[in-house]
Amino acid sequence: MNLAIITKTLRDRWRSTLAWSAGLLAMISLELYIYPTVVKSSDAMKQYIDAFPDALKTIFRMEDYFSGAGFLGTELFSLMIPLIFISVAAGRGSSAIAGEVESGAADILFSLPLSRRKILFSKIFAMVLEILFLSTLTVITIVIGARMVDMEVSTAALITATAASGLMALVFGSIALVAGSLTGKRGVATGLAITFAIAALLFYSLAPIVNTFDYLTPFNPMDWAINGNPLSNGVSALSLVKLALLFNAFIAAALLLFRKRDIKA
Amino acid sequence: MRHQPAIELKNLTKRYGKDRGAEDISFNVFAGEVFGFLGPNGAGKSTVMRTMLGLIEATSGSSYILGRDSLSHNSALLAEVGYLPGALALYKNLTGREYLKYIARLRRVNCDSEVASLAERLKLDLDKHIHDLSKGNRQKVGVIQAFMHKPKVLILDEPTSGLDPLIQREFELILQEVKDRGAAVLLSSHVLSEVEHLADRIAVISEGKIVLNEVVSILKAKAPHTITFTFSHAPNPANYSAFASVISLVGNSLTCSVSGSEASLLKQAVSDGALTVRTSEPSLDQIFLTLIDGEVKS
Repeated sequence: MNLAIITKTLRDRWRSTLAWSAGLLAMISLELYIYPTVVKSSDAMKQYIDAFPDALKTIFRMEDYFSGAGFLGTELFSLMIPLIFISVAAGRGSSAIAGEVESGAADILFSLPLSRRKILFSKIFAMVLEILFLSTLTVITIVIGARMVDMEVSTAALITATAASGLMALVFGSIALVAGSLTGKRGVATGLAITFAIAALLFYSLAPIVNTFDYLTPFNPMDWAINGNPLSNGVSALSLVKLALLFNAFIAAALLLFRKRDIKA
Repeated sequence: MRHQPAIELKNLTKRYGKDRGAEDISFNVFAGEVFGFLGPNGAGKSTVMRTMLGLIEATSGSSYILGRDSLSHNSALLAEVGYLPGALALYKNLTGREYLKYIARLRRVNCDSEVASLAERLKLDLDKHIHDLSKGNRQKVGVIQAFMHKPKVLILDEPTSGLDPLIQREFELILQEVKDRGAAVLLSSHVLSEVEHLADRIAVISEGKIVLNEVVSILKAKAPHTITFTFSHAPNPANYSAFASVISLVGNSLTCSVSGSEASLLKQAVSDGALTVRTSEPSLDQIFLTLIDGEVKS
């Protein structure tokens, strides 16, 4: 790994990272802010939610809406936080190599006394650091905010749930990295990763109500990361391992495929 | 007595699908030599350079730089090489100084003093952001990037593009110093006149193939000279076709093109009562165009 590449990669993105952080912070704060109101009006809310179609309740995993973990699980961890993490990771993964190629800066970068492996690893490390930063921000904001609004959430479960979302985002980020290294096109890489993420989300959401695609569920990283409200129940070590392995598999693929790939002029 | 070449290409070939890229390219560049690599746009010059550096994979053939295989990545080798790409792109959000510092960090060298000196000679403001620099000034950053670590081998793709004549002159001086230091320089251009006084030898590439590889002075000697005679009366062009090819007869002026000895031609002109003689030195451009033209026709 190369420290200069890591710091430059992070520096190039600080505005974007700041914007994502602000958005994340605002979203979490808003949810925490309305939580006491939701609890206070729980009877009325219960009736309201009971009136939701069963399918909708299932899709958003609304089984336990009034506990802290249930509320945050539904509001944040079933969709919004994973999506934000995935958006960030897909953007970073796609620009890691394709960004250099598209800008034309790759010609000089790859003619320097630095192996492609080293450059690739440095870019991946920067992506991991950024997801780690957003994950830490999420955990800290929720831990502090939950105290302020008397919400009960297990910190351990919160950490594993966030880690699972972060790891899953890195999986899609590494898909973008592979596609970007192969095509040299950022748009294609982001598009592909987001398409996979949306497909995964769709299959995950529909799994409880449609049986047609049941055979796909065991292979769906979205299912590994967010099924069964991880905030209440934690994430199994197996799921975390599977996510980490898949992430590593895509990195290995990127390395292998990019090793001898022509750098587009 | 010449040693092992600093750059040695043997039958280097790069094909893109069905498209041609570069075919069977072979040449050597020795230490202390500037080798001009010439050809029209799209002839394959950049392809050869990028293949040599392992940026794109060779289809076949070999390329050795400083005796080491340069087709697969070799950090130790690349530390000795400076490369200026033809389609230069820099990180626009950085200043020139930040950019050069970054590249130096990636090379694990400190080039501060060399950067300062080169920037002063090329009249480049290092503290301006690259997005605010003109094309010529960006090219200067690219040039400094290639020279700053005092490489033993320089691969320069159209290095003077965008530079104004004064800076081009300074660039030539820098290149001369690098050459005197013993570096081997491979320099491409599509403008022959600018390479004419820079290069010791040139190779001409057309449609992916080398059509000529020659020492500049020999090339010029071999090339046809143009001679124009003025007579008091119009001469008979047929008298001259045995010694030269007659280009034109306008009034009393006869223009011929001659290769090799001009003695017979001059004798004939004197006996016809020539009043003035004007000889024009062939420019490499003419030679080049003749060559390319011949290549296209064949």
